[in-house]
Amino acid sequence: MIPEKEQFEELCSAYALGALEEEERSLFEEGLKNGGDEYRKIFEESVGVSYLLNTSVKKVAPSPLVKARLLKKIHKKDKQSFSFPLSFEQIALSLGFGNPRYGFIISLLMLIVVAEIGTYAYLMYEDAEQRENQLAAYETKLMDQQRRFVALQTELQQKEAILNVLQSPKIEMVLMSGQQVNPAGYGKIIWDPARKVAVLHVSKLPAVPSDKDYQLWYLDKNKKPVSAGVFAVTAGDENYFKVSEVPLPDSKKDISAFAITIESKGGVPQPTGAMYLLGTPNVN
Amino acid sequence: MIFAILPNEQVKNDVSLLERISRRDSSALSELYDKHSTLLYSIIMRILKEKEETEDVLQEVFVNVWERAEMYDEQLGNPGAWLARIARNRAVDRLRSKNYRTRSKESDIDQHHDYFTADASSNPEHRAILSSQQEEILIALTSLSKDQKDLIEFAYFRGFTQSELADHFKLPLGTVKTRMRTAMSILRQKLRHHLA
Repeated sequence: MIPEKEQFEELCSAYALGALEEEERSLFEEGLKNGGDEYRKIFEESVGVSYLLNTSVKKVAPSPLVKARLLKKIHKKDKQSFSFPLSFEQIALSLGFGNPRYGFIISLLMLIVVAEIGTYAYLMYEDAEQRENQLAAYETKLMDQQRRFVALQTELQQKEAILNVLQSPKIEMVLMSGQQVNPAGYGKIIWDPARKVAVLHVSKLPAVPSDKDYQLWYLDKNKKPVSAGVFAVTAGDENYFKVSEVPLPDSKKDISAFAITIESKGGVPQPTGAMYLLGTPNVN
Repeated sequence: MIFAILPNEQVKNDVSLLERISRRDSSALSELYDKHSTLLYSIIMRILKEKEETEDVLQEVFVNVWERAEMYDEQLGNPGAWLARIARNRAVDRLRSKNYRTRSKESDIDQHHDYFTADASSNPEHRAILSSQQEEILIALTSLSKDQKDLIEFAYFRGFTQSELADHFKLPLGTVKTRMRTAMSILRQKLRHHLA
């Protein structure tokens, strides 16, 4: 039974929007098959509209890794699906060699064919293996590049933040030098009193163990230590920068010293560990 | 002819890529992926709203194409439309299987949200890069009533069947069918020059 035009329009709309009920499918298919050009046009336009609806979606590109994973997967699948297509018996029968007296000839022929196929399969396998390795290498390279990109982005943001502090109309700076435990170390703290943003730079400090942090302190006018945050230097960080919002006094005249000590992870209320850097403000 | 949505050359090229894929040419799959992955990923993301699931379904779609490229039938639309349909259906299947659709909460309708135009109109950058075809589609969508747009959104992007829509919106099934037909008819008229 062919549905009426109006009903077919309803069915097409539902089909195009993926909302067609299963029990209406046969009626819809009947209309499409036997409804003629007019019905065909309604169907094509409805499906066309649903395709156009997709373009109203906000476009987002997938990560390049998705493609790398996809290609790797299909190569793997192809490799797995390779198998010898027919048994000897089937081949012999299909060639018309059903008679046992041809046994020796068939066996010989089969051996030659198998050897050929074996060599071919081995070469194919080698090729697929090589391509897979190549793909894995590209994937690794891509991931490295992505990591490098993220690192560069972070570095850029940090440098922009440092430049913002340096561009402030008024900044304060205190230099710090290495102490007995690490004489080669040095550092400085520069801050913008108006925005309460400080840049800490330390150099040649040893990497901290995983259960420790470096802690920055300032000593107020009464030489009472006040924590100004913690940070960790990892191996290879010859120069370490940190930009953070720290409520430092407006003027270095209100500070008697800056110090960096090594403390338990997360910091402590009062300094307890070895002092690595110390600096007093030059108030001339 | 649905082919008119995309330039003829592009359609021919896609058809030839599918033929090459059915002959196990992986470079053809790579090319097809480059051409269509952004749109398919965007459709799936619109439905699932989760990056990992979206990536997974996108991969599933192309693996399916790799294994069944010969199933493509030109009668059912151009390859782009075919791929979009597979992507949408796979995403909706995932949506159902994972019970994303907690009907009482997540799918409750937002009385003030315009599902189709909100993204484009609220984001100037997105708006600026819309093609004229996209602009026309968004304009066509503005000619629908809120009720009609809700039905399209819930059917196409949330996978509701017509009887589920009737339950959800507490409407007679006949009303759902009529509203949906009217909405699609308006869109067909407004966008006919893209479909002709």
